[in-house]
Amino acid sequence: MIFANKLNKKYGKTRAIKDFDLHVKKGVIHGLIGPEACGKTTVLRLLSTLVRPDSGKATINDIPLGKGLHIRKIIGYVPKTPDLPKDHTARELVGFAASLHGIHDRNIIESILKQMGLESVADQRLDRFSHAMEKNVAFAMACIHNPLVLLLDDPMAGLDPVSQKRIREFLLASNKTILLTGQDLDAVDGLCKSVTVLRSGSCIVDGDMADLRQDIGKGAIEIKLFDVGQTQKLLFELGKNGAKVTVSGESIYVHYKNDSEIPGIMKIAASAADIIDARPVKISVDDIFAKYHPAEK
Amino acid sequence: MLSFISGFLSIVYSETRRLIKGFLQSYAWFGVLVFISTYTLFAEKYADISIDPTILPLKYANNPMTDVLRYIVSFAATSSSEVMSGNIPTMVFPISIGVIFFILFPFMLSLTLMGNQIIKKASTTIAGENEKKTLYIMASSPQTRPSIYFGKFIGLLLLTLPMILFFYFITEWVFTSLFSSAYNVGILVLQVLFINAVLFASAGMFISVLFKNEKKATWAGTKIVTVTAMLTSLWIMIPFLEFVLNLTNNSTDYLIYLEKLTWLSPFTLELMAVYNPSVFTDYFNILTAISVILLFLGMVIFMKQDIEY
Repeated sequence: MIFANKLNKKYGKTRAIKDFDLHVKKGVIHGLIGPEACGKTTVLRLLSTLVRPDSGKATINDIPLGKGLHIRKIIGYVPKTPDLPKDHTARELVGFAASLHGIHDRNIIESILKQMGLESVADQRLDRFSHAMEKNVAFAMACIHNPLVLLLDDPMAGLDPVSQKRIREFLLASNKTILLTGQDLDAVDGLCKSVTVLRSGSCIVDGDMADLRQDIGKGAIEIKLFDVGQTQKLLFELGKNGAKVTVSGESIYVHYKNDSEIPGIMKIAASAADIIDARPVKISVDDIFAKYHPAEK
Repeated sequence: MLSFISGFLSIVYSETRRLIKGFLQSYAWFGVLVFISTYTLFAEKYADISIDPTILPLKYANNPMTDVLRYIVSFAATSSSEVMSGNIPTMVFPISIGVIFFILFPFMLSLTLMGNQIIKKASTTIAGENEKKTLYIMASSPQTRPSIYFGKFIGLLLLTLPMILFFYFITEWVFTSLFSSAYNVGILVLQVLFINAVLFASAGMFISVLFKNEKKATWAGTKIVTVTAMLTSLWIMIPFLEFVLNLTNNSTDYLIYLEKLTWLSPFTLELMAVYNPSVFTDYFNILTAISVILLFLGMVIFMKQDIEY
């Protein structure tokens, strides 16, 4: 669905992205991960045809970037910090975005306002909106034409937990091809099926989240017990069932190779000890850099 | 195609709506100042009198001020005996001089006020949105860069229509109630005001794509209007300069270069076009060509630009 081959972009003397490759399958939520100024936003700008690549090729739904008009018909784009005209109401802005796409059906506008939780504030000017509400308006504007592809620049940045949950649910239920950016894997965990990790404008690694987790060796659950005296019993029971277990401080790490092993591990652990907390171990961008790009860490 | 046209119209509407607040105050000032300067013409008396061009031979004759100077000199010459006897005559102007007053004062005022207002607003269109980072809304929609640029241009142009029509009605009023309808330059004025609006909107939008900052773009735009208005004022004064240089026996040859310099100002060409209808078509075409070139150049630069947000 989204394909990029050796994309390059310079801003003055600064190379924003270098020989960037990307392949996002249809209907998949794909994350572009990396620290500040690593080129994530530039990739989205290029794909949304706001900037032109210096070299390289890219297509969305087999439409090359050169055919910007056709690309823009099928994409919805939300910047990291959308700056919307403050003297307009949310309804006016969503209506304006709709009219730019030739949509004049009020029901569609009302429906998207409702989906984004804006129906009660739709007639208020944006100068009275919080950052999170403004971002919801930008989401509504980007989704008004029901695009095939969504390009979202750090969609969760600056959002309150309620908005984050709403956006997360909206994206998961949308069945759209989504390319979103984030500074760390935390931001996209549970949302993205696959990721591309960027550093200094270049792709370091890309692939499925699960494979990446396994590859980095962080396919593990961190367990904390109510009574640390039960640790030995837990280690014994898990070891008996072939699980690889390590202990660090009060945390017990149970390593697994496949997500399907998790229910079994939890069943054994729960029968052996009183668990007060259990969560999957998170992978950080640093872990990925350490694994795939140790020289630059 | 229909959705594209509908999108284009919404850009025009949005731009008109965005700019109209800034224009309301300008309409008021434009109306008041133009009305006052026009109304002062009613303070004088006008009659169908001809002026003898031989009374004051001037080289740079294609200038409305030459006629004014000639009339003043002829009035002074013919009324000196009466003045000496203590009987000061009432000054009655020829209608042609009244028309020149109309061209030099209300018309010149309306051209500069309108030019200034249009270029100020036009120079904020792209630069302002670039600075506020709101341009991405249109740029990521299924509209082309030229359609965004042209939509903004049309939106701006629509806002100048009240000024153009107001001045046209002022012209009709003056020529029907003060001067003879035979001298009526209403249609010429209408055309010149329109091309003035198109030219300054094109120039302003061209400036707008060159600057990323609204304040700098506005500064550049207003400076252009100031310089062009100054050049035209200089053009108006050329007959006076020639007259003074003649009186003091100095060479007037270099005035030809000065006059050519003043032609760089569109206001000069516009005043000349209305003063001398025989050159109207040529000057109108020159101004149209400049407007089209500026509009096209601005559009091409905008198409090549990366959108910041």
